[in-house]
Amino acid sequence: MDARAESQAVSRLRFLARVFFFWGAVLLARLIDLQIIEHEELARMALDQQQNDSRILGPRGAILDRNGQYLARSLPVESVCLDPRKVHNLGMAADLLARVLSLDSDTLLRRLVAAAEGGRGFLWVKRRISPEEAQALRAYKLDWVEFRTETKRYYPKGSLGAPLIGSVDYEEKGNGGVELGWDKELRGKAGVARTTADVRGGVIDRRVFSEPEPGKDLTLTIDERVQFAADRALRNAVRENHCRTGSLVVMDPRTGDILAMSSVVAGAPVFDPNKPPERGEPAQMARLNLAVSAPFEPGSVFKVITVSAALETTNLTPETIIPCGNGRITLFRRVIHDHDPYSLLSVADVLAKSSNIGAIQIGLRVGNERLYDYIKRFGFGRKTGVLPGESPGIVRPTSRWIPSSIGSIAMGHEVTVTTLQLAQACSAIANGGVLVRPRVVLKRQRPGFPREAQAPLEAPGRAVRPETAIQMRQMMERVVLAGTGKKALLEGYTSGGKTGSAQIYDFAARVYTHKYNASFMGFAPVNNPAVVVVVTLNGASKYGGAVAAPVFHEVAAAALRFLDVPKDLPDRELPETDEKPASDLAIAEISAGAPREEEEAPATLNAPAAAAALLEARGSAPTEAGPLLIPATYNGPKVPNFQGKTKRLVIEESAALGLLVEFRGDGIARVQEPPPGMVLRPGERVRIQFAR
Amino acid sequence: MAQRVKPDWILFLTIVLMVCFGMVVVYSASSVMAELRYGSSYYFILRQMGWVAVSLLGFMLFMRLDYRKFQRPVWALAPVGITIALLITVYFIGRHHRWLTLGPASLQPSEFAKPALVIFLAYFVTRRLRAINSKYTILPAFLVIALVGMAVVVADFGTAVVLIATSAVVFYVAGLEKRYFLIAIPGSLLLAFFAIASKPYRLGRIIAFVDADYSIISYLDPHGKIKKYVESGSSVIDPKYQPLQAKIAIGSGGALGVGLMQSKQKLLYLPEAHTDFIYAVVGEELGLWGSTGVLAGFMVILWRGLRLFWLAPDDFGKYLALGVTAAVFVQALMNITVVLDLGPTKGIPLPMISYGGSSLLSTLTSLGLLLSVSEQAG
Repeated sequence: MDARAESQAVSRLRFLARVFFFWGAVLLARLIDLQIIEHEELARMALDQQQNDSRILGPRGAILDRNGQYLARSLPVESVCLDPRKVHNLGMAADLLARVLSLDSDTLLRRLVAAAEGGRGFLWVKRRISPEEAQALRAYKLDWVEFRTETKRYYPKGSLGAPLIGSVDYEEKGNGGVELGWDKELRGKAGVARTTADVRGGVIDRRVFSEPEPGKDLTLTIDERVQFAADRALRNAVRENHCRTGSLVVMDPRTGDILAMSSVVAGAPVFDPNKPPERGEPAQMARLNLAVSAPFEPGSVFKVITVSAALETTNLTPETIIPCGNGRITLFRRVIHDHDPYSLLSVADVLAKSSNIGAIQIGLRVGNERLYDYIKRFGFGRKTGVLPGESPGIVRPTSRWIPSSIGSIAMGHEVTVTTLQLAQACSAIANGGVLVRPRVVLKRQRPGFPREAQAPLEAPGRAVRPETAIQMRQMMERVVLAGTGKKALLEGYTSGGKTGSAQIYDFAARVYTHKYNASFMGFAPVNNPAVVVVVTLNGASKYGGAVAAPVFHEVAAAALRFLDVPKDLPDRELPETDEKPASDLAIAEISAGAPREEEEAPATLNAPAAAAALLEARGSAPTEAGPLLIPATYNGPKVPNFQGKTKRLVIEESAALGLLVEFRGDGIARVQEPPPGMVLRPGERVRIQFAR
Repeated sequence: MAQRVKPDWILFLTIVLMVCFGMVVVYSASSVMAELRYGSSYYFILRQMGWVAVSLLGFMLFMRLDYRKFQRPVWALAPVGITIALLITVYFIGRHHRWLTLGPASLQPSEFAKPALVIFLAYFVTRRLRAINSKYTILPAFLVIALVGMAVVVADFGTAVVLIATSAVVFYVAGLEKRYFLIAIPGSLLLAFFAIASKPYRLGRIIAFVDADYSIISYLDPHGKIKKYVESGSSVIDPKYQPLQAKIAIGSGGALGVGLMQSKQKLLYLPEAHTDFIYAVVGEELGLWGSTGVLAGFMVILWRGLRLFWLAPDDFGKYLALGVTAAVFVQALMNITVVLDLGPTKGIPLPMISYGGSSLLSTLTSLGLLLSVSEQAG
C-alpha cells in the first residue's frame, strides 16, 4: 500500500470512527433520556399495565329496622370461576359445568372458547351459586375449577319499604335508597390486593396490602310493622281510587325519625330488591321513592302554612272573622270562586272548611315577603337531605311572583313540595314549632365493635312559636272533628290534620284536569303528637278528605298501636260516616255546584269536649267506659284530659278544678283513670300514670 | 512475517465477559416464556449454554489459527458460495424461510453470511487494493455482495442491511471513489425499497417508525391502498407496540434497574424479550449502569478493533479486522437503536447477548478472527 493510499485510508477510517463514536454517543444520550428523564413516566406506564390493584370487599353491613329486624343483610355464597387456558377439553368442561350448575351448555361453551381464544386467564362461570350446586361441583374434584366466596344481598322482607331501602347491583354497590345514600358506610373499607399479571392477565404474584373492614350495620328509624301497614294501606288506596301514584310518610314529630315511607305506582310490578331489576318504565318507576323525589302542588294542606304565618305576623286569631265574599273574589283581575260560598268564617273555620277565599284573604294580610319567609321556615323549597335522589320542590322567590301569586300560594298552588317536606312541616306544628330534620338512620355500628354513639339530633331551627303551634294543632283537630277531614277520626286518640286536593294541571293541554293530588297531613294524639302521617294520592278522582284521610286513619291507628302510644280518648265505636266526601278543593275554577255537606261542628276548640259533644250527638255510648259515664245531672267538674301534660300543668289544672289527683311515676301524663269527660263522684280521685 | 506477540487481552476479556453476561440475561429474559411454552424455565438457557460452549470453542480455535491461512481464494469464495446455496435451500424448505434444522440444532444460514462476506471482502480488497476503482475489479465484487444481499434479503432483511453496511465501510476505507457510492447508494435504496415493499410487515414497521398515524401517507395515498396492504400482513399486533414496550422496559429500569431477574416487561409484555429486544430487559433489570455497560462493551470492541487497522502487519489483517469490527458493531448499534425506538424495527439480534446459536457462533468465530489478527499485531 503506498503512502498516499494509506493516508487516505487512515483519514477515511478516522472519519468512520468519529461517525461510530457519535452514534454511540447518541444512544447514550437516549439511554439517559429514557432511564433518567422519562423514567417516572415510563415506570408509571409499566405499573399501569403490569399491576392491578383489586379491591377486596368486606362484608356489606346489614340494614335493620328500629326494633332490630333485618331488612337487608349480606350472606356469603360461592361463585365459580376458572382459567380457560388450563382447561384441556373445553367441550367436556362446558357440558359438565352446564349440567351441574344448570346453565346452557352452548352458551357456556361459546364463552369458554371466546375466553380461551382471547388468551384470557379468568372467566366467571356462574356467580352466587346455591350451596347444593357448590356441593355437587365440589364432588367432582376438578382442579381447574376455582371457587370464590362472594356475598349475596338478601332482603328478608321482600318488597317491604323497598323504594326507601333501595337495592344493590351485581358488585354489591348500592343503587338506590338507603343502600345508595349510606353506601360508603355499608360497604366498609375495601382492602387492596395488588396483583402482578402477565400480558394475558395471568396472575404472577398477589399480595394483600390491606385487609378489608366489614361495613357498618345500619339501624333505621323505620318500624317494620308500621312500614307494612303503610305499604298495605297506600297500595290499597291507590288501587281502589284508581290513582296514578301514591306516597306516604310516617314520622315521629319530636325527633324527625321516619317510621315508614311508602311509594306506590299504579300498574307497576311490585319492586322486590331480591329479584334482578325488571325492564320497562313502570318497573323503573316502582323503584323510585316518590315521597322524596316527586314534588307536586300541595293544594289546601298548604293553608296550614298560610294560617300559621297569619297567627304569628298579623293580629289575626283563630276567632277573627274573615269575609269570604260569598264564594267569589277578584284578585288582580283574576276571578276566583270558592267551592262553597261562605259569607263570613272565622280563621279556624277557614281552615276547617278549607275556604279558598278565606285563605286568600288571610294570605293577603300576611303579605308576600312574610308568607315567603314562613314557607321557607317550614322547610319548603330545599332538600331535607335525608335520602339521595331527593327533590327540593319549587318555591319561587317573591321577586318572581306575579301579583296574584299570593292568592295561589296561600292555597297551595304555584309551589311544589314533596310528601316528606309536608311531613317535616306538619311535624313542626305537632312538636310545638320546632323544625326537625327528618332522619332515616338511627344508629350505625360496625359488627364486633363497640356501638357508636347515636348520631345526635341536629340543632333544629324554630318554624313558629310554641303558642302558634298549639293554636294550629287545635285548629287542625277541628278539621278532623268538624271539617273536611272527618274520615281521619281515630278510635281512642285525638287527631288533627288538614286535607288537600289540588287539581292537576295538564301542561300539554294547558288546563286544570279533573284529577287531583289528594292529600292529607295529620298527627295524633293532638296534645302530645307521637306520629305525623302525610298521604298523597296523585291522580285521584276524589278529594283528599275522601281518599287520603282514610289512609291516614288506617296508618296512624296502626302506628299508634305499634308504638304503644297511650290512648287519650275513651274507646268507642267510631260512628259510621256515610257522608259524601268533604269538599276542600283549592282551585277556584271549579263550579259552585260542588257537593255541600259540611255539617256545623261545635265552635269549641277543646278537643275532649268536642269529642264528647260529638259522641253525644251520635247518641252512642263508649264501650268500656260505659258504666263510668255519669249522667249530666251530676254537678261535679268533668275530668279534663291530662294526658300528654306535664306534672306541673296537671297540678295547676287539677287544683283549679278542685280535683283530687293521685300521681304515679314521673314525666308526662300517659294514662289517666277515669278517662277525660267523666264526672267524678264525690271523693273519687283521678289516678294518673306518668312516664317519660 | 510479524512476531507472535500477544493476544489483545482487553478485547478477549470484554468478549468473554459479554458472552457470560449474555447468558445471565438470556436466562432472566427467557425463563418465564420457557416455563409457559415448554414447561421448564431452563429450556432456552440450556440450549444457549450448549451454543456458548460450541461458539467459545470456535472462538478459541479461530483465535489460535493464523488468520493469514484464509487469505486464499478458496476461503474467500467457498463460504460465500455455500452460504448462498444454503440460503436458497432454506428459502424453499426451511422453517419460516430462515432456519435449517440439523438434528437437535437449527441453524440460521443468513448469520453465516457475515463471516463469509467479511473474509471475502478482506481478501478481495487486499488483492485489488491498487485497482480498487477499476470497473473490472469492482464489478465482480458488487455482484458477489449483491448476490449475498439478495439472498439474505429474501429471508432476513435486517442481516442484509448489516452486510451492506459492512461492505460499504470496507470499500470506503479501501479507497473506493465517491462516485461509486453515488451509484451504490441509490442502487441499494432501490433494492431496499423493493425488499421492504415486498413484505407487508416490513412496510408496516417502517411506517410505524416514520408515520405511525398515516398522516403523510394518507395524503399521498388517498384511497388507503398502502394501509390496506400493510394491514393485510399476518402480524395482527400494532407495529408500534413492540418499540413502546421496549421503551417502557428501558425507562422503568431507571438509573439502578429493578434488579436482576425482576423484569416485569418480560412477562410477555415485551415480544422477543430474549432475542431481538434483550437489550430492553438489560435496561429494565440493571438500569442505566447495565445498559451503558453493554453499550460500552461494544465501544471497546470498536476501539480495539479499529486500533488493529494501524497495528496489523498486513493489509488482509487490516481489512479483516475492519470488516469484523464493523459487522459486529453496526449490528449491535442497530439493534440498540431499534430498542431505544430511534429506528424502525428490523429483526436483528444483539451480538453475544441475544439468545440464538447461529448468531452467537457466527459472531464469536468472527471475533476469533479479530483476536487472531490482534495476536499477530505488533
